[in-house]
Amino acid sequence: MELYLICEDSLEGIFAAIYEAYLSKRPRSEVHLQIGEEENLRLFAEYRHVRADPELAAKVAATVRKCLGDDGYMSICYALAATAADKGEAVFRVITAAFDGERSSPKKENLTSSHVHSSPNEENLASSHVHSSPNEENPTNSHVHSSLKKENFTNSHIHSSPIMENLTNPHVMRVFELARACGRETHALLGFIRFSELENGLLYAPIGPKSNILTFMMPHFAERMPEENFVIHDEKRGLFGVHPAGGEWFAVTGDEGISLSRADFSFSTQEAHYRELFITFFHSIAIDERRNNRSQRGHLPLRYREYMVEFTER
Amino acid sequence: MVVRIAEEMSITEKLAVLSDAAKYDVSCASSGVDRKNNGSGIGNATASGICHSFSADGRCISLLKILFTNECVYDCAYCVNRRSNDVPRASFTPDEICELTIEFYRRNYIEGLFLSSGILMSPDYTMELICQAVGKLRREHRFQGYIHVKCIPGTCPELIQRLGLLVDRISVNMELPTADGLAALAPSKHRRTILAPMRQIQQGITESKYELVKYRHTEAFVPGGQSTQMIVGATPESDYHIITVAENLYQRFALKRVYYSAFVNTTKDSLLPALPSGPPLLREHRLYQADWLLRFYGFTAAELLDEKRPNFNVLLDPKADWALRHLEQFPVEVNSADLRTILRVPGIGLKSAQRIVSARRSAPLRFEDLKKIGVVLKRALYFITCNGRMMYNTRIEEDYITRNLLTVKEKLPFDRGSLKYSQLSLLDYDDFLQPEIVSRGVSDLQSVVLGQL
Ligand code: SF4
Repeated sequence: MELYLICEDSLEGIFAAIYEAYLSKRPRSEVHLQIGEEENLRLFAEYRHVRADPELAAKVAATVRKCLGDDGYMSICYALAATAADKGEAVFRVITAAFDGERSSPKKENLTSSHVHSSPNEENLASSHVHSSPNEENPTNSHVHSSLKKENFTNSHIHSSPIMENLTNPHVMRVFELARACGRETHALLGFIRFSELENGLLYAPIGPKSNILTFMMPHFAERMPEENFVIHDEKRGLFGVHPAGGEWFAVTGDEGISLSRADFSFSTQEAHYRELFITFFHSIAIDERRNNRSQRGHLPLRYREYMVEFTER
Repeated sequence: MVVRIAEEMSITEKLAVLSDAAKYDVSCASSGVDRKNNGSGIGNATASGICHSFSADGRCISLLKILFTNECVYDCAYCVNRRSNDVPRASFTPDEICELTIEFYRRNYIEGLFLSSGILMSPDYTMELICQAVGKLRREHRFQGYIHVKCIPGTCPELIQRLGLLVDRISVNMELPTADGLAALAPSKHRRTILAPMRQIQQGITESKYELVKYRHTEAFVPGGQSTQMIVGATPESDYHIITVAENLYQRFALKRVYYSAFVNTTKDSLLPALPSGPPLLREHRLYQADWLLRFYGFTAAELLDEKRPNFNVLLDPKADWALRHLEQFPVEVNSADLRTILRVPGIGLKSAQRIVSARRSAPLRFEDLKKIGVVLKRALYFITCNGRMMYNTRIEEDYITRNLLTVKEKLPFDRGSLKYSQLSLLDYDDFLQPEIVSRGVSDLQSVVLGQL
């Protein structure tokens, strides 16, 4: 009988379900991953709920990293940040293929093999972060991968482990597509996000991304602005990334008592001045003879613009 | 010359003047340097480069692109800031540059600073002020983001050395592809004063890399490499001429990038072409496409164009154009051809080619796999086989493929509709080829170009 493991939409949830799948000792092809409740229940199938579990998730994360390499692991994390309903199943199939030794490449012509084995202490890093998480119960995929190197946040690195190169495998192709889309959105937003300075000097940036990518963005800004207090706020998901000056960043959800909206803030006295300056710059840097709104729209889709000072009314 | 630094101008007014005057500089790249923040101050540099916005002309905004001053003692015919042009003048102070950079950076408006300048008093005087501003930004504000400074031709070697240790990228603009063009339009500039600093920077970079390996802790000299820019369409050089110069700059000066800037006629000087149909955007686009072919696809300038055929086809991109003239090399079997060969197939880009080579190790690729990998089959199908078969029963015949390729709408970075009709008409097509100039200029092209560099 087919077994459906139902889990919540987070790395902790999905990885815990994969752990459960291995515990179940069933033939892999009979086990399926289901994120959230299924609408059309199948008659002859067993359904089992799996609780999100940071500890189990960390174990799975460490093994995935060892098996798929940093880049492969990053692809999995990016794919799981997507909203697509089939992401859990696709990731599960790719991971089982990798674990069960469906090694795709008999000959290694290039350098990618060097990425495959990550060092043991990287593994520790991944797990220690989960344990030290200040919000262990909370269903976000924040700390499992916060220790990853910054280089992994660009989409150029997405598919380097052998299994991820096997694009003729439909599950690999699906994970690759999902990861590419999330990687692209993350990369775009690293540029398009706008911080505003509040009265107390804190920098605040609201975002509304398609995918759940806040935690991919935090390391980038934490590294670049170590002495700033800043908050990135995913308004769609009620999720906050918080960076205290000189400290480590962490993620908090709205259910934990924080509720903020853009209307609550009063900006610093200088904020309007610098916005004005940037808007001046933005308009004077364009060459009239080359005006090209189509190209502008192609590179900078309208959905990003409501968050960008240069596109809001003066 | 009277130095008129308008002290009473507000920083907003200055920014309006000095970013407006900087907009014709093309480079806005912030890529190529990976530098971590040292735990203090602000900023880092990301190898992949980040676009922060796109202006109404569709160009990426990554850096705060400004002039230090738009005062200038020179009188280059093509330049808005030329001495004889009557425009409002302004100069920043080093502190104003620091303030704008830091406050824009904190808000994530920009990835760093691009500082160019007109010439106040003399090249050295101006570059000294620029060094002060950049030094302040690095040392007092501990700014570790990306900085690109444009070097004024004629700057002394000592200043370039100092500057090189502060910034990520320096560019010295070629301005025009030939010394003749330069003499006609920018008589105060000389090929020599442009190539000498380029050579110095190239040597500095090489030495610095060697020392970094040896001592680890020395400061890097221009870690982002150097670039340059050529104005296209202000002088009569052919495309062949331009890409040959570019190829030489890549090979002999190890430049990271050559930028091409479609000429915008702002001064209406009698020495300049009138360009009634606007800046030559399509030509600029073809040059960029060719530039990619030179840098990443293993093509040489002489493969793409030659003296008999000195300009790119307006209707086809340079790679398709090349392939159509070399049909004897096609079709290519994607499951066995080497990377170099696959890179030459129209419709297959750099990333797709790399994916093909790694993915086919697991299983032979089919046409539907190629499509998912990112190959543009509508263009590639005439040139490839998958497991010995072509996608459709197509003929390998120049006219036939050309006709079919022309029906596939080419994705251009601008609207064909927005180009005036005449720009694509046959009449203009001939203008593109510039027959009279070509016959004069190209005969001794190799020697001219090579001799200059
Ligand atoms: S030196 Fe530069 S700023 Fe001065 S006129 Fe020539 S191009 Fe313009």
